Amino acid sequence: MLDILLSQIVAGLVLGGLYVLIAIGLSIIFGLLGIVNFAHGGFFALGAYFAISLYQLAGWPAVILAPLLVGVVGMAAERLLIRQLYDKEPLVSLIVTFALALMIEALLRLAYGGIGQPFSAPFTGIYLWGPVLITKYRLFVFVLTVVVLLALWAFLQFTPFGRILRAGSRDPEMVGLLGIPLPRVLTATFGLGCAIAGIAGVLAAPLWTVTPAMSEGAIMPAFVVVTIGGLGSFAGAVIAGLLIGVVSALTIQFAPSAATTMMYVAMAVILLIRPRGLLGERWERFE
Amino acid sequence: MTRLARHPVTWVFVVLVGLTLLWQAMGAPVTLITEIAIYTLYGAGVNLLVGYTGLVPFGASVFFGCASYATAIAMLRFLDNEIAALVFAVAFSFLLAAVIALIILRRSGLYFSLLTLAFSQIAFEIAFKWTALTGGENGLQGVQRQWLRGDLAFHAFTVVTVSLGIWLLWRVAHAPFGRALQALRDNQLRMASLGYNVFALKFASFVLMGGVIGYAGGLLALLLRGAYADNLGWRHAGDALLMVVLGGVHQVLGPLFGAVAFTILQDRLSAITESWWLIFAPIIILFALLSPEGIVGVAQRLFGRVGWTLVRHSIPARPAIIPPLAGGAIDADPEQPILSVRGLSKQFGTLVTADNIALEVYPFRLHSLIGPNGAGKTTFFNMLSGILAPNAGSITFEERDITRMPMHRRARLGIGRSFQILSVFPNLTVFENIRIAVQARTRSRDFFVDAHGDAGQALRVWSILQAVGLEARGHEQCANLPHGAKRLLEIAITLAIDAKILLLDEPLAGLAEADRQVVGALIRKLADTHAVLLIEHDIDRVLALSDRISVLHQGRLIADGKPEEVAANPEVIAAYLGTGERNVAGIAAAAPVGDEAAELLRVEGLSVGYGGSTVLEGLDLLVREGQAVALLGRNGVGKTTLLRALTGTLRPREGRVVFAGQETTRMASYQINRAGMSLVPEGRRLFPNLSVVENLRIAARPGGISIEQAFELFPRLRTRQRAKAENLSGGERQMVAIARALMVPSRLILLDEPFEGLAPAIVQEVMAALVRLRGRVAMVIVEHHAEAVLPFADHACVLVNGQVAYAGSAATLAADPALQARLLGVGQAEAA
Repeated sequence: MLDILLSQIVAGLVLGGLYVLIAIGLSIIFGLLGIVNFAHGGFFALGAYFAISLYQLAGWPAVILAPLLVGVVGMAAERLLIRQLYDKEPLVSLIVTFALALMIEALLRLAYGGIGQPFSAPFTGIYLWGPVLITKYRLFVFVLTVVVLLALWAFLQFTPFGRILRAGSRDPEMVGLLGIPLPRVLTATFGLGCAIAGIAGVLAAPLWTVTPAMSEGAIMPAFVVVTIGGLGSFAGAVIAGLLIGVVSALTIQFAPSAATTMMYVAMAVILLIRPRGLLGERWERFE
Repeated sequence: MTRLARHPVTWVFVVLVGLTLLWQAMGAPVTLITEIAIYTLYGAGVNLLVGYTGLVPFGASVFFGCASYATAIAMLRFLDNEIAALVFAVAFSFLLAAVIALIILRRSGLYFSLLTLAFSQIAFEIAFKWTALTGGENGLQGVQRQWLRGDLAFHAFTVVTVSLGIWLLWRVAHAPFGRALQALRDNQLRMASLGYNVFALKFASFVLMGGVIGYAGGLLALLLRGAYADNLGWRHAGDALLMVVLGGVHQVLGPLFGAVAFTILQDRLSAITESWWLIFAPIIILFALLSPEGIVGVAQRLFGRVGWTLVRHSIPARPAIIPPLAGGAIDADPEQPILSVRGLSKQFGTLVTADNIALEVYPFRLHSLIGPNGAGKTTFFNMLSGILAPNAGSITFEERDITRMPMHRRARLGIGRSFQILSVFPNLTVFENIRIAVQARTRSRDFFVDAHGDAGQALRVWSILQAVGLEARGHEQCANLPHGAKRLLEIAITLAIDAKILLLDEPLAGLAEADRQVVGALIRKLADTHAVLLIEHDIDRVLALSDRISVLHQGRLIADGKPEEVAANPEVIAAYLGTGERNVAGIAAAAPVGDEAAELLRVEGLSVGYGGSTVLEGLDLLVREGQAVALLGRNGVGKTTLLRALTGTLRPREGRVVFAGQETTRMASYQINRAGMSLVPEGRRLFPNLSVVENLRIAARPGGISIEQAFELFPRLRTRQRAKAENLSGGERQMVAIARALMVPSRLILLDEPFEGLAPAIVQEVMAALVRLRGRVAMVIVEHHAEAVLPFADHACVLVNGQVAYAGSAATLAADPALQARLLGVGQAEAA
């Protein structure tokens, strides 16, 4: 019993790590641009598909190139479309990014077909520590997730761009008044958020089936994680993501049909107790 | 006849019947039109929340989907006819909506949208996984309609009941309840201040939406003869919302045309290609971006009648003779205070804005509250009216402790207030703005009577409009009024609720002299029959009108008594005029920068405004290299607006700005900053989540001062460098803001009220820093205290009514108190 429990918790942490990666990008974009990006799941799926296509062309470097390409696509989307939404009411950005999400999915369906694409993990085999069992690839995913998150945290905390991001999430207009070219910052931020989703997409490709619909499996958990963790809170997203991952994995073990429901129930319960999420602060912009 | 022809329900009915005939003629299955009818009602239900109440439920599908399951389950298990099943579906949806509303209505904005989506996903998961009840992946099949067996019979039933449903919503929109929702959409805070229970209104509209959508969901189950999880899925969560946006959000017929376009396009496109979203998504995106009012908006532009159609445009006819506003005296003992405050304190972080205030307000007297900017007057009002909770102390109204009472209940007890920042209902007519306030008094809960049908109420509205001179503009939309008229409307709304005590926050600000007299007389008259507590900067008028004056300074009550006593109080004179405390010795030592210096900033014919109002008109201004310019003017005269226009955060309508040899009129604010113009904004605007050093570093560019130099300028900051900006005191924040502006290579620094709300010692420190900067960089210092800046300014500009009324030597202005009094209204000395 205990060994199953432990193994599920470990599997949950791996899943949760992926949720964190997707949610962090969503949260950064939301914090600075004020936009709930429904298409974020689409960029996650793009990461997986780009990895498949680039792998055939370039081999393993594709794993690096794919997220970069997703970031570029994200920046292009910001320039062409998302930019139009900044001075509009939230309803318009919900509708437009929602339509964009379905358009990305339709494009993927057109280009790759609706059936799942095979993408096998670069290495197979399992590790066994006492009662805990984990595949080598899952362990690799988890380690890489931690590395990416640490790098991102350091980037936000210690670099000039990170400083601008944190400042801009509170008062973007003032950032502009200090001579910082805000339009370029917004483009780069959207691209960064999408690229992180792309990394998650690449990592998830061997674990989940690569289908156009995989975006749907990513966006709702990401919303839940961001809401539970608290808008714009890095630590909140990490805690909430891991929590949701573990909760999902455990319910899969004991009550498989309730797995996804549990996530929403957890969200409703936490919001009842803490209306701004676990680590959410009062944020004038979104009240 | 024309009334019937223009009635939206006629449109719904005619369009649906017309489509039916067309489909019949083409021999196509009529069920597609049944679906359109169902989606029209679904969309109309969603639009009750989006268009009327101003909430965006992204997952309204939770009601649609659950109701269709409820219907199917009822029909399959315990009900044998479809009418009973529909009734069951509606009742079930009411209940579901009530439960969900209790959980999520406390949140607004995007949180609200995402939470509704989460609930639709919970429903989806349950529908998909609870196979025993819902049939899981396969859904529920085999629902047999007992009475409406044929497609056409069911279609006819659907079209008729959907039309009836639209009619019902149209009635509700015109009833007191529906009218209140529309006011709520425009301004929640104002509604609470009028005595409306905002939560109860939202709750009722959410539950009503649930019921309407529930009926539509029930119809869908009967149409499909089953229920499927599909409609609850992520992809269909926003269907109704997409239709509403496609049709037009603020249009009663938006849901109809949205449903027609959405359903037919989807039907045709999906017949052509599997990737139909590739065509459909761009259509939605284009409509959302280019035509905010959707299909109806496009049609309106073609036919030239642009506007909202959520309710009829008419207002009750203006009576031939409007009776003057009759206000009987309130029932109160003139010897007993109606409102008393004890030990009231409030602090925000380290900033104390109310410090142990004790005050009593008596009825039938005009009691004024004055004090310099940042004294805490509005904070005090916010605590009295219930917007802010005090940290300590108590508030008693008519011998009841109201310290913790919510705002709307205080309003119902008889505490009315006006707002310093305009707080009206921009999308309602002028008449309706007042009527909604009058309606608050009657507390009508009616869902079905025409609110404009109440003749007595309408007459009172006209009387109030006449009292402020707006009776000729009753039919106009509030947003289109000039600024002065909006201010009059603001006061009229406050009068309309017939409160016992009126808290008036700068009711005269932004009014022309003629209107000031009208409103001043009105306030005086009200004070004879009610209790009035007035905040006002027009000191002359306050001294002339008031029975009693209390003076706040830095959150403390420093004087309280008859006007002549207060005006003679030395502490008041010091606080208000700011003289005596500030040591300006040594300032004059630096040589003044005269007219020989090169031009740095030239503003020509600048006109700026917000929405419909004009704040600055044809303004000219010249600043020379290294010059210190005092930009003076009364509150609300447009000083901050000018700075916003100069720094590129507000687009000028006309005129041009030339800075350092290049035109910056249309540049982005970052480009203007890079050209060498920095702003120390009102309220400092530090980044609260960044440390002091980070706040400085973010602005740093080569050519600006270094962090080390910033610490030399403000030694106090060195010890606080690791502290987050949100934990700094007001003075420290101002120092960081000034230092931050210097981190960029600036040739001109704009300072917006740099001394506001600072303790005298800190004022000294900040002023010393500015004096050290003098001559090295040009400065424009916005102030409403001439005395504070004139001693070290080279040049002075005084704004009056959006234009420059004086531009010349600061010394000349400083030496001419009569001129100052005329331009700045600082004539207390004479009045006393």
